[in-house]
Amino acid sequence: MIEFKDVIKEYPNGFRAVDDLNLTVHDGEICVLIGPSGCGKTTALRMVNRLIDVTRGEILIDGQPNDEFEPEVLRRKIGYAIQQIGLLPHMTIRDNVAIVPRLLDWDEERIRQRVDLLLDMVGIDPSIHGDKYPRQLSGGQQQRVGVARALGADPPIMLMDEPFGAVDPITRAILQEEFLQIQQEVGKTIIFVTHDIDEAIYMGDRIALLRTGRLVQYDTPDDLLAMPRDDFVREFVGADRSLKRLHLISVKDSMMNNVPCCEDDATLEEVEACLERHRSDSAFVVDGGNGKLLGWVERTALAESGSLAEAMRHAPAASIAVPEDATAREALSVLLSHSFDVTPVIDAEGVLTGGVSIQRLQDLVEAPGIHAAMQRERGR
Amino acid sequence: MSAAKAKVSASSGRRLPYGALMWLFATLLIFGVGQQTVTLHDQEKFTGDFDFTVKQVEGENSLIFSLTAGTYLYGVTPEVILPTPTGSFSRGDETAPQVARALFDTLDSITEITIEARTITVVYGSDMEAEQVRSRLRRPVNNAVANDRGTITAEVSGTAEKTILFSTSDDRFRYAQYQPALVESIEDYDSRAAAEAGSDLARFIVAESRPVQSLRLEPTRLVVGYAEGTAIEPFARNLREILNDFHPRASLAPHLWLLTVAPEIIPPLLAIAVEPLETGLPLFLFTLLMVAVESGIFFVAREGKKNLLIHLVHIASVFLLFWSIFGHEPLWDAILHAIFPTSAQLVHPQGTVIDFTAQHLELVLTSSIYIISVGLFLGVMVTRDNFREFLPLVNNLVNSGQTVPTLAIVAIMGPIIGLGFMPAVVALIAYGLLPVVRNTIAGIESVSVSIVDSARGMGMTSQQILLRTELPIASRIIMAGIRTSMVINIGTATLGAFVGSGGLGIPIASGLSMTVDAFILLGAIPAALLAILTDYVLGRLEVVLTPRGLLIET
Repeated sequence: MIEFKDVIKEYPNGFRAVDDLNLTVHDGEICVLIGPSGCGKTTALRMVNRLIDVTRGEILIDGQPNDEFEPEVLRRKIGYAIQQIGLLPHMTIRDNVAIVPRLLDWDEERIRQRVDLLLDMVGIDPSIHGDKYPRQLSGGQQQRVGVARALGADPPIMLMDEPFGAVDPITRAILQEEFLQIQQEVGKTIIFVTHDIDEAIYMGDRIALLRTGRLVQYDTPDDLLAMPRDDFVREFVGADRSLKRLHLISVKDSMMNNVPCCEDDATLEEVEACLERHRSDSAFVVDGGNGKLLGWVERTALAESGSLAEAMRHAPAASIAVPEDATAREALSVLLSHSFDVTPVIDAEGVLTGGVSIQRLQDLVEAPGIHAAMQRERGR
Repeated sequence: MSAAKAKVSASSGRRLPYGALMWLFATLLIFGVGQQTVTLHDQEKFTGDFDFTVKQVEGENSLIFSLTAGTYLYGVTPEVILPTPTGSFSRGDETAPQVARALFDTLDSITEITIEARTITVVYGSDMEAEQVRSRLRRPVNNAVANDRGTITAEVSGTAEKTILFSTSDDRFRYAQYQPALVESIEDYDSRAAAEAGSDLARFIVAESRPVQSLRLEPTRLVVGYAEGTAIEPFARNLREILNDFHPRASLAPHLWLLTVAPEIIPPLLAIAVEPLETGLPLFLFTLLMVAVESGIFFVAREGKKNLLIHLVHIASVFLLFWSIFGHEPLWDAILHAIFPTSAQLVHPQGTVIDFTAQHLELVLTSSIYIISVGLFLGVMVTRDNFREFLPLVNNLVNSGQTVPTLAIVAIMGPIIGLGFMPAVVALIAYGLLPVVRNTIAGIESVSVSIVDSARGMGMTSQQILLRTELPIASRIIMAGIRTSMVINIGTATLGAFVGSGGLGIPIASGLSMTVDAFILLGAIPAALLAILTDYVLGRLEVVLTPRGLLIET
C-alpha cells in the first residue's frame, strides 16, 4: 500500500509541482496518474522512490515513511520503468534485467533463473535475445525488456512512467494487454503515469486526475467517466466519454437475450409472426440444428419471395455479429455500420446468444452504478 | 534476424586474412633486405676513429701500420684492450705505466696502485685522511681516463687498510683509449695469391690496392710489402683509407633490438644456415612467426574471442616490428645516405635512434600518465552534480593551456623549474590536457539522461552509476581523447630538446643548429613513425576497450 499524505513539492523559486496530494494506492492495484503536461504526475511518481525529495508531508509505503530508508535501498525494492526505457547499451539483455538482483547480491544461479523467467514472461525468448544488446532489439522489444527489468528483483511496488509511450499504437495496445495479463499473475501495487486517457481507462483500477499539482478526482475509470467532478475533468476525459465508458463494458454484460430470430427451416408465416412480435423490420436466421448464425432476412424481401431460403441473405457471422467478449463499444460500431436495430452477439462457436440495441446502450451509459458493479464483477 | 546473421557470416567468409598477408609481405621484404650487403656511409661515426701510424722499414719495401685508436662497433662494445699493463705497482716500479706514475707523482703518501680493466685501486699511507686523498686524486684519475668522467665513483675501503677504489659501471670505461683489433689472430700472406685465398680483410686489401705484394695482419698492426718503385705517400694514404673503409664493414653486425639473443639460439636449434640473412634473421623469423600466428587466429580462433586476441596480437607485434626498425642503425644509415648522398654525417653521434626514441617515449609516457589521470579526474569531477559549477572554469583553463604555444610554456618553465626532464613534462601536460578533459566531459554528457535516471531509479549509488554506467558508455569517446592527446604529445615532445629533456628533438635541434639535414630527418622520421604507431595502437585499444554493445550500429 502506498499513501501520499499532504505531500507538497515546492521548488526554491516557489513553484509547487505537487500541491497537497492525498492519495492511497491499495495492494495489487494499478493507480494511474494522469493530467495535462506539468500537472505534477511524474513528480509525484518520482517522489515515491525518492528520486525527488518531498518538501512537506510524507509518503508511506506499507505504513512506513519512505524517508526512513536509504534512497538506494528503497529504490532496489521498487520496480522502475520509464518511457525512454533507459536500457544500458553496453550490457546484454540478460545483464540489464539482472541489474537489480546483482545490486542485491543474489547468487548467479538464482539470477539466471529469474532473468529467463522474466524474459519469458514479457515475451522475449531468452535463448534467442538474451545475449543480444539493447540496440539489436526493436522499440517494442526494448519496452518489454524494460518491464522485465523493473520486475527484476520481484519488487512489491512498481513505478511506471509512460512505459509504453515510445512505441507505435498497435504495439502499445499489445503491450498494454500483455502487461495486464502479467499483472494478473504478479499482482503488484503499481503507480502508472500516462497522459493518454484511453490508456488510463484501459489500464487503471483507479485513476487520479491531477491539475497544476492538485488532485482533482480519484475514482475508478467508470466513475470518472460517468461522474466527472467538474468541467476540467469533463473536458479532459473528452466529449466521447460515453463511448469510452462503452469501452469498459463487455457485450456479455450489456446484451439482451431476446432478439428477432428464426430458424432456417421456418415458413414465411412464422418469420412474419416473429417480425411482428418484435416490431422489427428484419430478423436473424440461425441454423435449425446447432443454432449458428447464418444471415438475416428483411421484411421487404419476404413479400417477393416464395420461401425463407430465397428471401434470406447469407453473411459470414464475423462480419455482422460481435463476439461475447467484445466491448460494448465494438458492438456500437457494428450497429452503426449495418442497418440493423440490433447487433447480434455470438459465442465462440458462432451460436447466436443475444443482441445489443442502441436503446440498451443508452440505458447503460445513463445508469452509472450498474457499470461500476460490473467492473468489480470482472474481478480486475 | 536470421537474414542479418547470414549476412554477417557470409561477409566474414569472404574476408581475407589481411594480418597474415601483411606479415608475409614484411617477411619477404626483410628477406630481400637481408640478402643485401650493407655498406655504411656515416664517415664521422664509422671511419674517423680508426687511426694508424705508418712506419717505413729501413731497407725493405715494407710499411707498418699500427692501429692506434678506434671507437665504434655498432652498439657492440668492443673488448677493451688496455694500452697500459694491468697489475699492481709500487712506488719506483720501473714497469709502472704512465697512469700509475702520474698518480704516484700527485701524492707522496701513495704506496701502491692496482690497475684493472675498470678499476684503479689506490693504497695510501696513514698520514692522510681518506677524504683528502680522494679529492686530491679525483682530477688525475679523471684525466687518465679521459672519456668517461661522469661515470667514475671513488669509494673508500671499509677495511683496515687505507685504500680507495676508483671504479666505473660503464662498459666503455677505458684508460686513455682502447684499440680495436684488425684481426683476432696473426695472419701471414707471402704473396697476392695467398692473400686472395685468405681472410676477408686480406682479400679486401689486395683487391683494393695493386702495389701490395705481401701482408701480415696482426691485431693492431698491418705490415705490407709493396712492389718496387711504388710512390710511398699515396700508397700509404690509400691503404689507410682502405683499412678505414673495410673495418666498419667487416665489423658489421647490424644490431637488431628485437631478440638479439636469437641468432645464437635459433640457428643451431633449427640447423639452418644463417649467412645470407645475418643482418635481419631474428626479425625475419619473427615476421614468419607472425604469419603463422595471424593465420592461426584467422582460421582457428573462435569468433567470440577472436576480436580481443587479434587486437592484442596486432598491437604487440606491430610495436615490436617498429621497435626493431628503430634499432636497426645500418638501416637508418642507408635511408639517410639515399636521401643525402653527399652528407658526411648521417647517424647522430650522441646516441642511436633507439636511445632517442626510448627517451622520447619516456617523456611522452610520463606526461601522458599525468594527463590521463588528471584529465579523467577533472572531467569526472566537473560532471558531478556537486562540482558542475566549475565546468566553465576548467574548460577555460585547459583551453588556455593549449592556446599558449608549447615552446612558450617550455621557455617559461625553464627558469621556474630549471632545465631537463620535468619542465618538458609540465609543458606537455599543460598542452595535452585539453583533449582528454574535453572528451571525458563530452563522453559523460553523451550518456542520455534517461539511462542515468533509470540507473538511479533501480538503486545504483552515484559511484555505481559512474563506474558501471557513465564511464563504460563514455569509454569510446574518452579513449579517442586520450589517443588525440598522446599523438599530439609525440610531436610536441620534440620541443623538449630545447630544455634538455632528451628525446627525438635532440637530432632535430642539433641538425638545425649544425645544418646537418640528415640529423633533422633522423629525429623527424622516427617521431612521425612513432606518432603513427601510437595512433594505431591506441586505435586498436579503443576498439578493445569499448564495450561490445556500443559497437553495434543502430
